[in-house]
Amino acid sequence: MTATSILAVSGLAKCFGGLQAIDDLSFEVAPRTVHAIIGPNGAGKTTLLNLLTGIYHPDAGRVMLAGRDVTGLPTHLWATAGLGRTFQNLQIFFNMSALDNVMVGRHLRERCDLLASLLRTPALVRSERACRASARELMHRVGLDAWLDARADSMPYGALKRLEIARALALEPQVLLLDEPAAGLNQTEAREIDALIRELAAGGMTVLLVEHNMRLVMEVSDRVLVLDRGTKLAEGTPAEVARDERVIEAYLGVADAESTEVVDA
Amino acid sequence: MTPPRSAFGGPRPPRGRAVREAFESAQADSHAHAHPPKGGDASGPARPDSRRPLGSALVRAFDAVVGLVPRGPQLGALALVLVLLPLTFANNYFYEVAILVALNAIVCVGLNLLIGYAGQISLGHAGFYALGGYGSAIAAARWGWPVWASMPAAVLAVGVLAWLVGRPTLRLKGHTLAMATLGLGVIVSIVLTNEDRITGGPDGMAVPPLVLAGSTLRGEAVWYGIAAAALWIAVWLAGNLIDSPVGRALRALHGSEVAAETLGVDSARWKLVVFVISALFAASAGALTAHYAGFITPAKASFLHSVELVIMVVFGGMASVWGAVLGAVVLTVLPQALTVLKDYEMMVFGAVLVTTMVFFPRGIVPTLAGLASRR
Amino acid sequence: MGGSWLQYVAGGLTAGAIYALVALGFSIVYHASHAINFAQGEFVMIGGMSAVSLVGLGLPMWAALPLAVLGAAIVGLLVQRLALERAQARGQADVVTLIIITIGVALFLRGLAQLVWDKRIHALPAFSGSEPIPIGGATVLPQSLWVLAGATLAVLALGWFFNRTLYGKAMRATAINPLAARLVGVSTRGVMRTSFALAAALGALGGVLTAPITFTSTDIGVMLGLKGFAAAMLGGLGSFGGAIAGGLLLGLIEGLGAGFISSSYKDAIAFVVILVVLFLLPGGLVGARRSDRV
Repeated sequence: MTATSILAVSGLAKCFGGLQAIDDLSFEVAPRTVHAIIGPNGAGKTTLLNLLTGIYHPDAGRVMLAGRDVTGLPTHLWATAGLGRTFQNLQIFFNMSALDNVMVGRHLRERCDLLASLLRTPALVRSERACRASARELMHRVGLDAWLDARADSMPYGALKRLEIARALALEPQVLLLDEPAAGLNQTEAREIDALIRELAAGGMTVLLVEHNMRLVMEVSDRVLVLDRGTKLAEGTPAEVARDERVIEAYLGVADAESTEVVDA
Repeated sequence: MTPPRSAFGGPRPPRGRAVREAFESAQADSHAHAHPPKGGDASGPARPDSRRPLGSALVRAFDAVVGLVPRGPQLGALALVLVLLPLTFANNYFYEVAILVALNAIVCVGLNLLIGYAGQISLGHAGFYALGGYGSAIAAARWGWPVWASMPAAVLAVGVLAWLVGRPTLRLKGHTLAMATLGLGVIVSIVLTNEDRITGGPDGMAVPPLVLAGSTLRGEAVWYGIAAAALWIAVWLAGNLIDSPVGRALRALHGSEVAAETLGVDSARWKLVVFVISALFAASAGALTAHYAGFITPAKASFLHSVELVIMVVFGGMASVWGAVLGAVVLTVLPQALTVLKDYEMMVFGAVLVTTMVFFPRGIVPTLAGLASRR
Repeated sequence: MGGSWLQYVAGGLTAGAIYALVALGFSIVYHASHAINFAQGEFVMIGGMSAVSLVGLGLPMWAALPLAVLGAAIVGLLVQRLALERAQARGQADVVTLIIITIGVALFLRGLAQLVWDKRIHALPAFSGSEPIPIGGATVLPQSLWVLAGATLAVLALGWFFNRTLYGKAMRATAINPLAARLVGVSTRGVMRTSFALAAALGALGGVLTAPITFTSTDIGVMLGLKGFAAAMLGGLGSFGGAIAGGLLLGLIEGLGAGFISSSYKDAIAFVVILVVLFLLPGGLVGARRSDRV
């Protein structure tokens, strides 16, 4: 394990009933990079993300985050350790406003004092104001100015995808896991997400990106990990992976192995 | 914009719980199953929130109506109403009903935090209510404590009990949670009935009156003041909590427990917190009622009483403090007003419950407010 | 000594058989719709009280009893049709909502029953006399044997229905995957209604069988429903075998506890057991019904 990796997974395994969803998976993520995870459906990408946020417990293996062993921790402690994530199927709090959604992301960063909350102390009012301000700033940063005062359930799908990212950013995570952030978006919106991810990376965020959208992956990632049936099929720069025969075979089938161009998904 | 796609590639299902279920199905979790939105089971208590566009529009409208008036003026208005209300009382009976309403409302406001905001369920809350009353009564009558000490002590004791009992209980979800809280409430009820040496058995026991600074606090007007003040405090505290980081965490848990956890919200801890708070509210109301009425019976801990409390919360409106108050008002006044229909009381209650949940699943207040503002 | 053991066991099993029937009713409805029918206990009451009325009107037992059960089944059907279907159709069919609706139904039925009948306790004549039969040191009421026999027959009939008849299998299919079942032509609504009617019938059967021993009144529904629910949870909601096992076990523990520990706390015993099980084994003894995902 390299001393410089911010996220290190070794020997991770998860089995569901007879199905080995993840099998002896090891990889490392360097800080301030965009690391993409791709693979055909059923490869185990979302299972991996769930393992990386404590929603599933691994049967074997270890996960180190910024030098801390976080394997097997309950979900909310993964957030404390510095991991934020978005979801493939939106897990927006539809019962709250957009701003409130982002403010929940500040949960760990602000004093969650029960007594102060019950009595609404001046200190709490001040901290609420600061929280609201930083939430607004985050929404602005992801381009949601138009929705600052909206309820979550009145926002369109594309905006909600970005809201989830803002919410995860509110956590001030060390590593941001994005689960198919471009799913369901059209070309324009996908490009906007692409720009956002690049901005985040340029700003120093480590991003772990699960995606199907090949163009996005190729343009944005520094390294790509290819999963197939729960194991690592290939790993390297986008160009390397695109040329890798095994990858082409897994995605496109043997007959097209001669072609070295990756077709847009 | 292309229509949003769900995990299965079909058109996007209604939001909220259905989305969460689709998410869980896609996780190859061996307990998830591909049912369309139906009663949830091990996946947790389902959210009664905006699952349909209509529901979300109503919530939005309701919030718009209530949100127009910021909390300060709302509390001020409540204070005004509470102060001026007695002017309309023709006789003592009105005071009695008002006191009953106020004390019921306190329980409902607390229970609403648990059911409406945090999305849990308790079918045994009458147990906390009764224990608050009995605790204070026993300490005062049998151990000679002054009532101004026995009341807070009893309430605190119930809080501790709720904390102890809540930890294992709140790990359960849905039906198991309902059953566990139900079982706890019934056990309390049975113990209170059987331990007649301490509790006076099925006929209950007499409760000493509240004595403060040498004078016995008796009489409808005095107690109305106490109950009204207590209600105002309860509404104030609850409102504060909802608008705070803690309240947001609770609402987040209700919205999507998984997402809340990934943002660092310790769901077990906060569910316990709101459980204990709601138990404290119930115990306080129980203690006050006991000393007001001068006696207490085990019926106060019965399953039926727990159900009545849930009815009030649900009827008035979940996730709405004012809804909880309204529910208490309507469903306490109604049986009083309909003493003529005493024989039909249970039927009417039952029918009210069914119609409310079928036609107004979010409760009366949000629905009516929504209708009013959409005209 | 052995006599009192056997006595408590006999009494416990008799009560347990009734709990098992009620629990089966819970499991059937849960199996089909994921709803907990808190009104299940009221069907037991309806069965017993209807039988009393019909016998009082002069009907012979062999006619009154099936009619009572049928009547309850019809009430169950109406409940599903009028109260639950609408909520389920609107997609409001979440746990809390449905629980509360069925509680409302239970209150309504009980209130209605108090009007139709009264609040007094009524007795049904025993099926074959009340001369206690000595069995191995204990005395067993012949009615107890009727209870056990009746319950066993009902369970066997259900087993045959669900495993051997097409419709029964269709019902099981609907529970596992409603969409797929609908695609092959099974009416989900029909299944729900049948489930409810069946559950009501089972409850009523229990009420009819036990009325000669425990007497009946309009108040018995609540406790029976709660205990039946507890038994169903004990065995694992949705599992038929579990419901039967849970019911019998609960009755047994109750009977033994009442005999050896304290009879005034008899009712509490059941709930303590349930709580222990829930805290240690949330899936019940048999384990929650699992749907396998591929």
